Amino acid sequence: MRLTEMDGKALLRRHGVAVPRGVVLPADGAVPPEARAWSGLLLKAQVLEGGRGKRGLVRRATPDEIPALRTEMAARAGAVPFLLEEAVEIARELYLALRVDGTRQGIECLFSGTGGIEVEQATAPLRLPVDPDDPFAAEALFSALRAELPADLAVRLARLVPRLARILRAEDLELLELNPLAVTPAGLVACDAKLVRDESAVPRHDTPAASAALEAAALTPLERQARRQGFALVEMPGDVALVSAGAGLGMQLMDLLGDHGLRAACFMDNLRGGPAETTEARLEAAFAIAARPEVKAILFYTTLASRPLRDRVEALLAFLARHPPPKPLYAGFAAGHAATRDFDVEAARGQLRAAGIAALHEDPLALVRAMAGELAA
Amino acid sequence: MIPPFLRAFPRRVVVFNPTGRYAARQVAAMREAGTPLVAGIALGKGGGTLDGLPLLDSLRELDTPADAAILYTPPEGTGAAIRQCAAAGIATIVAAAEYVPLHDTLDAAQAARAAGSWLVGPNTLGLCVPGQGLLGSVAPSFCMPGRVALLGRSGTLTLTVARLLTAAGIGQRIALHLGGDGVIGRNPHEYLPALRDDPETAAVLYCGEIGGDKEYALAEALAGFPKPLVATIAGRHAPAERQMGHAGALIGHAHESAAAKLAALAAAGAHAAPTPYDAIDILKGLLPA
Repeated sequence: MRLTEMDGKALLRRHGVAVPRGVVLPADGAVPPEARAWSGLLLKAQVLEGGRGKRGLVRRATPDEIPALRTEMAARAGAVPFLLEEAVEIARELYLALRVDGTRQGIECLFSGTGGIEVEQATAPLRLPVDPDDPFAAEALFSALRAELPADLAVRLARLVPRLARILRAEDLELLELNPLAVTPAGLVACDAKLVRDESAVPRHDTPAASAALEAAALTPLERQARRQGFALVEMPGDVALVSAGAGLGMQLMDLLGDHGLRAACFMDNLRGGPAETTEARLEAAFAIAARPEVKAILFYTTLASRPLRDRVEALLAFLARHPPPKPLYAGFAAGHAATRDFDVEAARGQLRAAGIAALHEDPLALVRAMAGELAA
Repeated sequence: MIPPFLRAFPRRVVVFNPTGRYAARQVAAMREAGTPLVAGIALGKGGGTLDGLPLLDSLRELDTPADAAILYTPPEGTGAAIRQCAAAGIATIVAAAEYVPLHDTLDAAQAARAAGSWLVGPNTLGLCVPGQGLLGSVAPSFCMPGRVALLGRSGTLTLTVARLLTAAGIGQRIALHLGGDGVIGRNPHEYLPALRDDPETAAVLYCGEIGGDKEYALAEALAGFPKPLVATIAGRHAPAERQMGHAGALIGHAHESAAAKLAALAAAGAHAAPTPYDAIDILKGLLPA
């Protein structure tokens, strides 16, 4: 879960990390009295996408300009919150990020002496491992940072990084990125913050309302409905409504469609906390997508090792009895011995064919080929 | 270190939290496959049985040490269960749960590594050594004994590819689902030294996916690997910046795309295959009939 800048900074402030003074700008754009006394003001639209600076959604302004600027930004960014922040005096901008490196199996720090909005174009950042429990972590970091920075700055950064690594862990974050981390007369200040919380750990923490609302707003109505029903749906421009289970198999089916000149219009997978069986809800979403004029067909494919094939086939048959497919339905399944125990697979195939399925194949490639051939005809 | 299940299939296997609906089905499938299950660990159910499998309240009550553990522990408890097994010196740990918090896995994976245990997962269907046994739920009926080591990042794709290999007459030395999370017990490249030395492995089929950088470590480790490795990456047609199911299956940077990973693996000497079907065709050409 991506946190908005203001939610991320509130979290950092709770942990004692320096961030600029800031307030949420009220809907009428009126600048709160305390902010009028600040040395300079920055208005920042709280969108979750990157590149705000380039899009003009972070701007410096005087107190009197703020209401009109808010209106102008809202016309482009939509109904998002706005953070009004004190513009700090910046001597130098650094880039600093902490993340979990799955391959090296540890927390790592990414550092670049050149921060700011163009960091993606800069040279590759230094990658430094950080052990949050190592009492000598700062010393280890200092020796690497000293080559890039003056000694006093390298020291301050080397002390900050292990603290941030502990915050990363305590707050179940996948990523904690400060860009820029500003060198100011008052010390290091996180002027922007991108924090991403591990989805699996979201229930352990209070969910910041603004971040949750923006994340939900970024979903399509069907994607939101799928979340409520307990599965993940990703809608894409495409011509085949794809119903699958399992991330890798779903992507493989997308690839096979792509190789045959077709494009998946959706991708599905399980969702944390969802029910064990969501076949019917998945079909409902796929049929809604298939009703669109640009979608030509529905592809339903499942591989089961031990979950009963009976449940999935019966769910499909029951759904088809109530909902004739809006476009030709191509189906397939592969089931292991344990999944077909006490289940007559041949009879199920007959029932599915009788239910009006356009083609039924065990092999995903044969199924996609049959679909592509018939759609092209 | 060699994955212990490649040296010899485990002889004393315990199952954590075996009594849930999903777990009980896997227990039945493993027993049918001949996996030597000795006990289920289920706090509060000690003294009972599950279809004849004795249940214990704690791993500490086991009279003779186990050499493998399968964990059907819910995500919040998986980290602690892994650490228990590592502390008990269990050589092979298979953690099935999806949605284990990332930092829990990181701590537990480090603990397992430090203890010398080989952790598979979390978020795994486990592994099948065809003809020898099953740890988890890689359907033995999809597999057949042979000389290709199949390593997959996705469970359903590992199953699908095992089945396609078998249908093509290519048997497997092992069919192993590494786990779909960003942090897993052992990364793909860590299997190579053992597979290099394993006389029963003739070739490796790696099925990866978009996101992360595990394939780059695999490419680096290919230098000097004397056996053919065929690689395919799922997600060639996945959009950027959208999470495709698995935590980490997201193209955030160009190097996380399927095309970039396949190119890196090919440059390192792997046989890069766009689809598993192409991979099987390559394997047919590489393996003696």
